[in-house]
Amino acid sequence: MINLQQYKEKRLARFNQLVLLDDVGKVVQSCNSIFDTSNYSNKSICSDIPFLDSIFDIINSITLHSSEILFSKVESSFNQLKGVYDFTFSKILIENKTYILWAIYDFTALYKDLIDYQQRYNDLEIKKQLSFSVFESIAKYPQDNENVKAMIAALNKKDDHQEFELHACIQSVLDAFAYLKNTTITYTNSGVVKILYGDITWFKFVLYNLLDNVIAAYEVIDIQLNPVSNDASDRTYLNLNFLFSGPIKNPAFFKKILNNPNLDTNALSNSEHVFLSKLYAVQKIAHQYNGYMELKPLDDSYQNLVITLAFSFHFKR
Amino acid sequence: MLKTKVLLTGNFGVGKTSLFQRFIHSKFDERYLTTIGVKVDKKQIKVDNGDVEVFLWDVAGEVSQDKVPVSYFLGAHGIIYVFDLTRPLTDQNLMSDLSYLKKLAPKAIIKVVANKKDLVTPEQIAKIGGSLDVPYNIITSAKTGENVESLFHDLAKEMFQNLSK
Repeated sequence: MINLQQYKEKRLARFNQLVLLDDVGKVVQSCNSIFDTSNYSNKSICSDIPFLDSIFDIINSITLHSSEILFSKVESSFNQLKGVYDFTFSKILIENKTYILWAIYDFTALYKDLIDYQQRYNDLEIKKQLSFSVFESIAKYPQDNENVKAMIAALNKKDDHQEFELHACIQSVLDAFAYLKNTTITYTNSGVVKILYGDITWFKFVLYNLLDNVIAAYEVIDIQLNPVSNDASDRTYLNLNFLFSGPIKNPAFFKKILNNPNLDTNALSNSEHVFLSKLYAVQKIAHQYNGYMELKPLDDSYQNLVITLAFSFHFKR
Repeated sequence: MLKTKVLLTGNFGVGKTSLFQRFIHSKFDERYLTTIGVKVDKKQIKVDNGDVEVFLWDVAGEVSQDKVPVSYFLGAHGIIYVFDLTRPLTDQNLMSDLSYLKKLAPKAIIKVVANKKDLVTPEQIAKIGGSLDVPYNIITSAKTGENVESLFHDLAKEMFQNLSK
């Protein structure tokens, strides 16, 4: 039988190093598990590691009774210490002399996965923000109409309690979208509906992504948005009715989202097409925006439409 | 020589690492490579009355500054808060972030930098400037290098004056 304790210590030792520094940064002692510090017994190690140099006064000023200071995820480019490390610093007393105890934890391999994940997430998020920004600016500037002007003026006020006339907001988003995607979007409204400033950014993101997903699935777009109710006193609730119709552009899209490769898309009714595309949009939005939507059929007054569903936006704040 | 610690902070993808590379190595890379923690390097700057050694901390971008490890700010003499002129969401938390940073590092000089000037028109800059809760101090382009030296020179000068008092 192997001695697991010894094996563990030997294994972990490769990823940890303890270095004892004096008050000018010379190495008094080191276990040298990660890098050799023998060059630094007569000169300060700070001269070669800018990170240490920049905080040496701080770590030198901590006392014996202070808690250790942690610097996580330090990306080091020092030749013998290349990678991503967590460093902790504390003061210890040895034979009546105080030293700085520098503990090095090599998390390079662990953080590599984190970097990859972070890169993918950030790339996606930046792309989303930029596409939104572009279509928003198109909506704002070339169309010099009074509604859009009013919306910009209200936005610039940055008043969290400012109310917006919702139609102006929707119209500007749709105009921009129609322009960018070279498609036609019709919009019908029913009376004045207000939305609070605090919700407007989220609302635009949701609307943009909803349209983007639906357009990805259909050859011809005919969308009607019909706000039916909104309570401006409730910041987290907004009802909208959406109507989508047109032939499916890509049957594989539905097979994929339904996880059903044998699905006969020709047999789907228009209502089902619409429902599925919206369901997909909802899933995507819920995933990306930490919010969720409810799908529910409307009352009889909408029976002449192909299909109409009410979306309830619930934003977690 | 006076040693100073300066943090580059702000949202992700706003160009902090590009400003870092431009200032330290006079380089620019079109690729966006995320930073997950912090990178530190140094450079000397001559100011009117002497030399300042700037230790620049390139901190991983966060949507709000309270996500940045507090230890990073220990002993900071200067903080450069960067936002991206092409992405409105990156200045959304400007006011609350600055207020948080002032509490965390009350003695640090804070500069607000609007980066990526090369990607926007003067009209867009004017509109963005008008909509900000807090005015920016300088507009930079890490890509072309415009105003990058000025940013660090002005900051170094102020830090020098502060520390010489």
